Amino acid sequence: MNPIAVAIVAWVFIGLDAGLRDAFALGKTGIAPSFVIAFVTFIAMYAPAPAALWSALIIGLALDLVFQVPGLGGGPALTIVGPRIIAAVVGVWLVLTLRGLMIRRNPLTLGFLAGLVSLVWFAALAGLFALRHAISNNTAVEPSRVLMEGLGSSLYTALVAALLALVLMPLAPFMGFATGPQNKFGRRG
Amino acid sequence: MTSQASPGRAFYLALFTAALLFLLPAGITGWLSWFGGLARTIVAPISQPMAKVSRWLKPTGLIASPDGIAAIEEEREQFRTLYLRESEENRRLRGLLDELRTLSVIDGTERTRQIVAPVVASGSDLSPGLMVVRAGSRLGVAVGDIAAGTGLQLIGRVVSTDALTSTVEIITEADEQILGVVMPDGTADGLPCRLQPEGDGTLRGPVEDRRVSMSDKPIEPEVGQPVRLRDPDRWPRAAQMLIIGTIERIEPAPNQPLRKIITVRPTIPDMARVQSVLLRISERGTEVPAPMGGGT
Repeated sequence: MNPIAVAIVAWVFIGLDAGLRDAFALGKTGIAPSFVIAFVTFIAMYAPAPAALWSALIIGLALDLVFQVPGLGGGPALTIVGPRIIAAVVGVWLVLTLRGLMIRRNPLTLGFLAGLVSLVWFAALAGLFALRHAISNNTAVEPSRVLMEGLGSSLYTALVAALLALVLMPLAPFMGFATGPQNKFGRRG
Repeated sequence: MTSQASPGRAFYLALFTAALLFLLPAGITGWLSWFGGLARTIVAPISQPMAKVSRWLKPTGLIASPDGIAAIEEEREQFRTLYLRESEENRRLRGLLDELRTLSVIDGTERTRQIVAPVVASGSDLSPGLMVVRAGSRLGVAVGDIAAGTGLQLIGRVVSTDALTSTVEIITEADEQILGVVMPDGTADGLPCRLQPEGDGTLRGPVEDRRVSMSDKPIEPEVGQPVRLRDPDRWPRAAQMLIIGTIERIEPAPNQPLRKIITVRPTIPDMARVQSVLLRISERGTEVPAPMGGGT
């Protein structure tokens, strides 16, 4: 894996999430696709396991730093590090266990796996914030709302990821990922 | 995953640290906001063009008047806001005189400066009601300053700042009640109301029951009447009498037949998609760099 190329593409995808999320949102439902989840899934499909896990951790950290969380009762917004790191790592772990069974060259595979990662991601976020609320409630994040919106967003992310595969797969050699043919055991030949 | 594929101890240590930071109280992890500002600054060069594309694809839904008319409407709205604010101030000062006591009143030297700040990023999965604008503490923006839009529509309040960017919480998505006043045409006084964001871009809440003086006839709110902010305890003076929206629906309160419940929709239909906001910065005798826009 070429870490510099992956960092550049990750930067673009975080920018896409920060800038384009509203344009793709379904009305006022809060349902919107995540480009970063699709990219994290793509890394997990092709990178060696340690590199995929470290990438998830670093991208999760970047997301936690970029996107603040609203404070309770109109209070100041908070920079909370941790939730997206854990969500990304859990999602990548899921892909690492499943990728041997998948036909990685099929764009629909990225869509399917990104949908799964997104489900796990939002479930992890909802669970973590429920835990945090039980300890000290100083954020306006509602775990139930995150989970409900997450279900719709996961489906949407899966659709967008299947389309993004058409862009990401040609970029794979640039990021140092081998996308060659696989043998029947799921390993690249 | 085999043991050879293990990411190493440092990874698990980093993961444990992340979990610990997440569970620690916000007061202890406040220093992370500096890194947050740095991260937003790094992402801004790519997120800002994307935000522009996003707003081009899906504009706010506000139907623009021709340029000349829009300028006159804006000017009229400015003078009306100024008039209502001064009327409100007059009323407050009369109340103070009546009470024959001195309170810690508004600082007479307080001035308001305005900066036009482009939106560089929108909210995320956890914070749909926040947006990042390109103006930070270097330009004098502070937590609590006000963001307004076209026609002096109140958009929200600054909830965090760093050197180059600020985060604005949109009123229709905030976890906070707003006190407003329904302004029937041609009157400086109005019907106080308490509004709560509904999550669908509107605010909803009860209106106080008031009667025409010397009569029992109630003053009724009407669809289309403007609702303005009057919440001096929680919002700065620069925000008072800015427009919250117009009444879209009126229904009777279920348990209080004399009261009405109003639904208010901002004059900018989708405030999360504005291209730029007008930051109204309260100056209190501190020196700040020269503004980008005009001042009041």
